[in-house]
Amino acid sequence: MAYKIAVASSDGKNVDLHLGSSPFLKVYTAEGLSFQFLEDRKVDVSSEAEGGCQGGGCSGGNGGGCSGGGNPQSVEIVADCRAVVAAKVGKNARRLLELKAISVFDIEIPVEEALSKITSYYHKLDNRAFNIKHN
Amino acid sequence: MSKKINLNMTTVENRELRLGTIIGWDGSAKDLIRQSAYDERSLKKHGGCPAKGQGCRLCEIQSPLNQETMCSNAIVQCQIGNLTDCVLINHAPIGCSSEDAKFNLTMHMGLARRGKPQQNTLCISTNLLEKDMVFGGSAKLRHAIRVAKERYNPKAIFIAMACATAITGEDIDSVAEEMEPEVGVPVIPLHCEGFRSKHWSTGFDVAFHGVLRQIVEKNPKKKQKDLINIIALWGSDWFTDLLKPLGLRVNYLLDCASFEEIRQASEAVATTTFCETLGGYMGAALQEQFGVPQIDAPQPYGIKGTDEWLRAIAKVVGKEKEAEEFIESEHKRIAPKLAEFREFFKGKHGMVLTGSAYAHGLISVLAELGIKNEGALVFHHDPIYDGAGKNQDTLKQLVETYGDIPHYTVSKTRAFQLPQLLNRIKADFLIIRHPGLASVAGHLGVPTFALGDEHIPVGYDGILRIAEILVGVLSRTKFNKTLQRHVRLPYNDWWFSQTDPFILSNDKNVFKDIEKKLEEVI
Repeated sequence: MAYKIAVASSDGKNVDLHLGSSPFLKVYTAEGLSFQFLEDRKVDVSSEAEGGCQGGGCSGGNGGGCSGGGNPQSVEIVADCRAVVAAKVGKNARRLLELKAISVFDIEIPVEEALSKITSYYHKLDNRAFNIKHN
Repeated sequence: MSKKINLNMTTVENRELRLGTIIGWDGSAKDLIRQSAYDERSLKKHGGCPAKGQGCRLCEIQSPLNQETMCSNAIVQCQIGNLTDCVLINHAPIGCSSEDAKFNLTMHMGLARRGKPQQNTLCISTNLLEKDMVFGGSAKLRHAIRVAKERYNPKAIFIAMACATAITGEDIDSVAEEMEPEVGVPVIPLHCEGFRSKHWSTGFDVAFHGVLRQIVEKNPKKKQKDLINIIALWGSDWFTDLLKPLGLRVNYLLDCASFEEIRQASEAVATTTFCETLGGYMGAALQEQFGVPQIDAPQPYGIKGTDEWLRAIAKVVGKEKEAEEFIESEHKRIAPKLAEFREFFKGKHGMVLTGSAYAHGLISVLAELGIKNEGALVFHHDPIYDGAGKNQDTLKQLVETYGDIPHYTVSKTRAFQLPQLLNRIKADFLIIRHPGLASVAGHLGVPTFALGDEHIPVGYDGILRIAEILVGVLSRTKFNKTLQRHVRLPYNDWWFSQTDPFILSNDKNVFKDIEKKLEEVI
């Protein structure tokens, strides 16, 4: 069964962007052990900043206000994906994604490597055989 | 060729391969002794060659359905996690640490029983998530080791493997090796993933293997002539009273022990245990690799067992005369009370449901009180123990001394079998060393004694202690009958009327029928 993976990458080579500040997300389709680039999805970061982060709130002493950095919009546009890969994912966004049963992988490695590992993981999960042996 | 315990390896061969452990069997105890072929297996262990086909694999009943149980990882948590000055890092998802709260409680009880200051368990979980399953969790493990050192400044740090980390192939051995110089204390990998073995007791062996490899003193400078190792759990300190007449001090391993107590295990004069299932591996390894003899005797339960156990220890420490005097005075001391209890328990029937070798000890105590045992349930069966001593065949000694048990069942904590087990025998009470099973059994109308402190039946006084408790247990027969009337278990009448606990395995049609019903439901 084919599924989609969203990646926050500036150049398509490395996973290097924070999910909340990524201007676009690269979406890949995967099936079995293979994957290919599908499209770029634009995220409206400015509306994001106003709604979620209140401008410079991040640098405030509290820190909690923007700990998410995750924006509802970036969560919305990956709603059809199975997983999201970004260098960093805020607590808020992580929670919202997990509510939608979307896996979150926050890791800084080459896109190629991340996708091959994730697809191989899902491949194993999906092809798990349930054997009930009777004797 | 004799098989020796290999301390160069970080992993332990599991019990099924090493000892031929089984978790499903039904029949008479005599039959199981015959099939177990202890003597032939013992010969094999000691380098001999038995006749062809002797000491082969024991036939086992496979059950298509299993219920709640522990695993090797949980056992390591309750063994290593209960050390007073060492940290256990559970390299696993957080769910594997769900029993930590319970083990914390047992540690508090154990410390109180041994008169040690109260403290909490020192356990850390690396809290692995999906990301760590895909990209590896070694970085988290390194961080956890540093945190453990910073927070607790322990004498040693243990790393426990779990199913999840075993599937992803985490290399805890090299992380341990790499981190050891940095933290400056032994970092000990324990390969105790749950699916390593079908029975949790492999976890005991893994825990002992770890401490034997990296904590126990390899070249003891001095021998402590009055120190004896007792491989135990959290039980009360009754062994001190029992061994004082022989001038011996007790060194309990492994629960509630400190780093220093484990280290000095190789300086002791001998090793013995309250249960061969638990202590076999440690005893055998200390004998083979450290020259500390393992006591080759029956377990210290019932009059005959305790006599022979004391004599065997006395022989090692050269105090035969004192032992004989002590044995005689103890026989005299308990005789009047024992006669009273025997009168009280006349015609009573009991049933024991505990771990393997411990059940043999407990049944001897009941038999000593004149209580009949028509049936017994043990959670697994080892046809041989690691020591493979001539006098360590606990089941054979039980049957030879106190007679056969017609319905001897080996089954791993499967509560759904309890109605059948109780249908075929007469039992006025049950002794269960498993709280989950005990609560189900309590609903079946039989007074149940959930045995927590495993040292209660040990020695001469143990017989009286058990008797006193059983008097109390029998006095609440009506309570359990009332409970049975008012509480309904989730089984139908047909299931309650069966007499074969392994009907799911023996009658294939039954399971097919159940499978069909399950499909309809799902």
